[in-house]
Amino acid sequence: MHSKSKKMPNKRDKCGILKTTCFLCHGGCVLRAHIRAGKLVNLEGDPEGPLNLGSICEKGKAAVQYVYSPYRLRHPLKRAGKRGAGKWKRISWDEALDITAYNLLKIRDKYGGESIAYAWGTCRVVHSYPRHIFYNGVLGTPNGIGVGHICLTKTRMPVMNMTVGPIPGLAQTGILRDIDRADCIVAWGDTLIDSRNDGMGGVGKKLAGKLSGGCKLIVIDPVFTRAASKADIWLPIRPGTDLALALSWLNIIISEGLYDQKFVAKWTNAPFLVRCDTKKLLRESEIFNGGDSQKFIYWDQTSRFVKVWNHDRYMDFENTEPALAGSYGILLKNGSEVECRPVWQVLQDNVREWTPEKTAKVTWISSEKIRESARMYAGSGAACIEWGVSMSQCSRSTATNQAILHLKAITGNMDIPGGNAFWHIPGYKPSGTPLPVGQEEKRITGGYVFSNPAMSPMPSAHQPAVWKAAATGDPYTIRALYGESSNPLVGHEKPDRFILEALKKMDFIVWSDITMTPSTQWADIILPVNTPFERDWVHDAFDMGLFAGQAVIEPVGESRSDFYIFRDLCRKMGNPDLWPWETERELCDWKLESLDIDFEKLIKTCFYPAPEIWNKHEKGLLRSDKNPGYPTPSGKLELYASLLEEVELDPLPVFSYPPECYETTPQLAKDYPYILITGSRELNFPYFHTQYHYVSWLREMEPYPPVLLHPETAMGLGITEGNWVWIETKHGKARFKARVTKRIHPKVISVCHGWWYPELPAPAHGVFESNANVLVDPQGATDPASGTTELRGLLCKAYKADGPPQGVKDNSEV
Amino acid sequence: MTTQCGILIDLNKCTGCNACIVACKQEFDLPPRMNALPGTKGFSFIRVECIGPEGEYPALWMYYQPIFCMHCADPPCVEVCPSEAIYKQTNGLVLIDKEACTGCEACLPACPYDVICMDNDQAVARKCDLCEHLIEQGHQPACVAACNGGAMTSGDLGDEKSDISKSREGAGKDCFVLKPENATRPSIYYLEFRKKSSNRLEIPR
Ligand code: SF4
Ligand code: SF4
Ligand code: SF4
Repeated sequence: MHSKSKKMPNKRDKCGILKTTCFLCHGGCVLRAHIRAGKLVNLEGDPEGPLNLGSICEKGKAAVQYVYSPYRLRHPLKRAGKRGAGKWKRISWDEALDITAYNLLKIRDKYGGESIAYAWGTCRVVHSYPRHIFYNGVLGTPNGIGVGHICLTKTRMPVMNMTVGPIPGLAQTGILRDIDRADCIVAWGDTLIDSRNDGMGGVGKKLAGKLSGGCKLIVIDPVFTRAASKADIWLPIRPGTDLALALSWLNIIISEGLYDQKFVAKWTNAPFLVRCDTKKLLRESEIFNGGDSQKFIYWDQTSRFVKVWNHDRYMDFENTEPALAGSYGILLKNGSEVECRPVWQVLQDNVREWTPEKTAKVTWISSEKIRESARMYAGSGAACIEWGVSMSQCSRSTATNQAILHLKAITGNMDIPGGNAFWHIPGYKPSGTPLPVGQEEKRITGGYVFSNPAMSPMPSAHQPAVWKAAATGDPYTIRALYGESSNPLVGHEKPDRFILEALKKMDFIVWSDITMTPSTQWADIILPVNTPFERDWVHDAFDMGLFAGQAVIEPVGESRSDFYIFRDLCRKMGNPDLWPWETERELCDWKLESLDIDFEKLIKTCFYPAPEIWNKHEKGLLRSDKNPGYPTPSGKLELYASLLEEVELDPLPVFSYPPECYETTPQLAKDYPYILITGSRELNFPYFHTQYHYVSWLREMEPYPPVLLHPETAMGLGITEGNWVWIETKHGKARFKARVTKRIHPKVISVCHGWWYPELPAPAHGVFESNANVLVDPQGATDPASGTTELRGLLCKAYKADGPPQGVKDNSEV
Repeated sequence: MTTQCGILIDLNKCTGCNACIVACKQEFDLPPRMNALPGTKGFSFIRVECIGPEGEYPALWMYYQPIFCMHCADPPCVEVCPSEAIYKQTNGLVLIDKEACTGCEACLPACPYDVICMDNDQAVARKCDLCEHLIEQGHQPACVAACNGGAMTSGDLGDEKSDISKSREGAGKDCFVLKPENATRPSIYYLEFRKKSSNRLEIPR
C-alpha cells in the first residue's frame, strides 16, 4: 500500500467566510458563505443556526449554480418586437425606470391607481423590504394579486383573526411552532421535509433528532411521503375530506374528555349562549333595554341566571359558574322566551355525528387510526400542528382551518412551549403605508369577505377576479401590471383563460425577476433583480425570532435589489419622502431601531431570538388595552366566530363534500374516475414552486414533470413507469411523466405543479404543456369567505400520451 | 491500531433529501460538464436509494439509504486494477490516482456496490474519496457536514474512542454493512431503520 494522492484544490483555500441566511425556500438556515475573489464558491450550514443546526439542503448547496446561472437576467430590457414575441433590447437602468415611472404615472392619473395590478410571488427575493409603500402609497392600488388565495395566508390569517384576533407578525398565520419542546408533531397536509415551509427551512436535522428522541409524529397525507415514512401514525386521507377528520378528532377529544377544560372554560367563548332559533350569539341588547349589542351572555349556574360578559374590563367570571352544557330558556326583552345553549354545547352537538366509523367512510382512514391519532395528539404533552396549505386549497378552507384551529385551542396547545407558538419580537418595526382614502373600497374582491381589512390583517384582491377584470373590463379595466418575481402563467389558476388574454390586452407591463419566465416574456420592461445572497435584509417571519442575511457578493451583472427599484420609482414618481432610506442597511437599521441591536451586530449571528414569553393571553400581551384575553370582539378566543356570524356565514365549521366527487357528481365520476391532487410539495421537491427548474444540480433529481399513479391504476390504463401520460379534467389537460408507486391510493392521482421548461424556446418555454394549473377552475366552486378554489380534490382521467411535449428530449423513454 | 476512516449513517434520520449528493457535486465541481436538463447525463459519487415502498397501501414502509464508496478494508477494486491506479491509503481511504488511471473500466464490475463512475470527459474512473482534502484538515466530508437529517457521523473506526466507534458499539446488532457476503469489509455502516407503529409490516433483512 502506498500513498500518492494528488491534492484536490480545497475550495476553502483563500476564501473569506461570511455569515448569512439562506432564503431559497422560506428560509432560515444560517450559512457560511465561502467567497474567493468576490465570487461565491461554496455554502455550508452554520452550526450556530438555530433552525438548521449546521445542516443545509439540496437547494442551498446548489445555490452557487443558481446565483451564477446563465439563465439569470443581467441587465434591464425593453421589448423590441410585438408584446410576447420574445424580442428584447438592452437598455440602461435609468431608461428602464423612466419608462416605468412615466407609464405607471400616466395610467394612475388617468384611470386611478386601482387600474394597476401588482403580482408578487413567494419571494425568494426576500420579504423584508416594504413593497407596500410603493404599491399602496405611490400607485395607490388595492389590487394586489400576490400569491393571494393560493397561499395559506388568504384563509388562515382571517380564520386566526376571527378566532384569536389580530396578533403580531407571522404568528397571525398560526403556522409558527416550537419544535424544540414538542412532544408530538402533527403534519397535516404538510410534507415537512420536502416543503421547507415558512420559517422551517432546514429543520430536517432538528426534526430527525426529535423523532429519534421519542417525539411523536402524525402525518396526514393522501400520499406516503418522506415524512409519512417516519411517522408514528400515518393517516392516508382521501383528498378534500380533511374537515371530516378534524371534526372527528374534535368529537373524540371532547367526548373522551381529552381537552384542556380549564382553558376552554376560562379563555374561550365556550360559555356564551347561542340562540337555538337564529343560531346566533345572544347579545345583551336582546335581553335588557339599553343593553349593548356587542356584549355576550352566559348562564351562571350559581345564581341560575344570565350574566353579561364584560369584555372592556376583562375579569374572570368572578363569583359565577358559567354553564358549558345544557339548554336554557331565556326571556328576551320583548317578553318572548327563547331556547339558548352555551357555545360548548353547540360545538359538541355539531361534531357528535363525526364518529370514527362515519368519518372512516368519508375519509377512507380506518376508524382505529382516527381514534388512535386523536388520542395521541391530545394525550401527548405539548403538541403542535403543522398545517400545510393543502386544506386551504379547497372550497371548504375556512371551515377546515377553523376546525383545526379549534383542535389547537381546546387542547391548550396555543402559545405554549412545544405548541403552536406566537413568536414575536416586540419593537421590531413593521413598515408600510396605508392606501389613499377611497381606494380600499375599489378593491376587486370577487365578493369574498376575507378580502376586507376588517376580516383579514393581510387583505388582498381576489386573483381570478382581477385577471377576469383585466381581460373583460368587468367591473373595470385593469390597464397595467407590476410583476414582482411572480410567474402567474405557471403559478395562477387557468392561465390559458383570462390571464393570457389580460397580458395581451394591458397597456403597460413591467416585470422584475431573477430570470426570464413564461410570464416575464409578456412584459414591456424587464428589471433584473438579484438573489438573497446579494442583499442585506432582516425578516421576522420565522420560528424562534428574527433572521438576517447580508450581501456576500456584489450583484451579478447589473441586477439590483427590489429595494433600490422601489426607492428610485418612489423618487421618480414624486414620493421620495415615502422611501427615506438610501440603502438596504439603513432600512434594516430603522426596523431594528427599538431593539438593542443594529444590522452590523445582527449579522454576526444572523439571528435575534424572540423572547420566550408564553401564554401571552394571560399576560395582557395580545390586546391593545393590555388586559388579559384575546383581541377579539369578545376578548375571548372565539370558538363560535362572531365575525363570521356578522357576515351571515356559519360561525362553526360544517362539513360538505368536494364539489366534484363520487358523492356529489356521480355522473361526472363515470368519465373522470380518479381524484386529482395538484400542488403537492413532494412532487415539487427540489424546486420551490415555479423556481429553479434551470438549476442543473436540482433539475437532475426531477428532470421531467412527475405524476404519481398506483400500480393497479397504471396497469388498468396500460401505463408503465416513465410513460408520458395525459391528465385530463373537465377544465383542461396536460402531460406528465408516470411514476408508478404504491405510495398513493389506487383512486388518487397526484401531479406536480409549477412546471415549465426553461430550456424550451422563448417566449412560451412550454408553459401550458405540463402545467397543473391548466387542470383547475378558478371560476368554479369557491370558499364563501375566502374565495379559495379546488386545487386538491377534482376528478380527472388519465391516458397514455404519444410521448413528451414537442421539443422535450426524453432519453429515458423507449 | 490502524486508522480506518468511515461513516455511520442513521437510516432513521436520513430524509432522502439528496443534499449530500449536491454537496458532493458542489465539492468536486462535478457539474460543469453536465447539464442536467433533459438529454444530457451527469454522474454522481453518491446515490440515495429509496428502499421500498413495501407492503400494500396504506400499510407501507420505506426508508432512504445513501450509498457511496465503502472504502472497503479488503477492496476488490484495488485487486483488479491493471494499472495499480486504485490504492488503499494508510488512513484507510481507497483512492484513484487520476494520472495512473487509463479508463479501462475494469474496476466498475469489480465493485459490489456499483459506486465507481466513468468521467468520460477526462476518461478516468472516479468515485468518492471521503473528501480526503477535508478530513486531512480535520473537517468533515462535505456530505456529512451538509446532511439535512443530521444522519451521518464520520470518523476513525480504528480508534475505539471516536464518536463513530462509540455509536457503532452502542448500536450493537442494529448496526450493519451492505452485502457482507462479499467480504470486502466496508467502512460505511448503517443504523437499521426502525418501523413506527403505522408501518405494521416487518422489514426483511
Ligand atoms: S432549507 Fe431552505 S433555507 Fe435551508 S438551505 Fe435549503 S433552501 Fe436554504
Ligand atoms: S466500495 Fe467499491 S470502489 Fe469502494 S473500496 Fe469497496 S470495492 Fe472499491
Ligand atoms: S443529506 Fe442526509 S438526509 Fe439528505 S439524503 Fe443525504 S444522508 Fe439523507
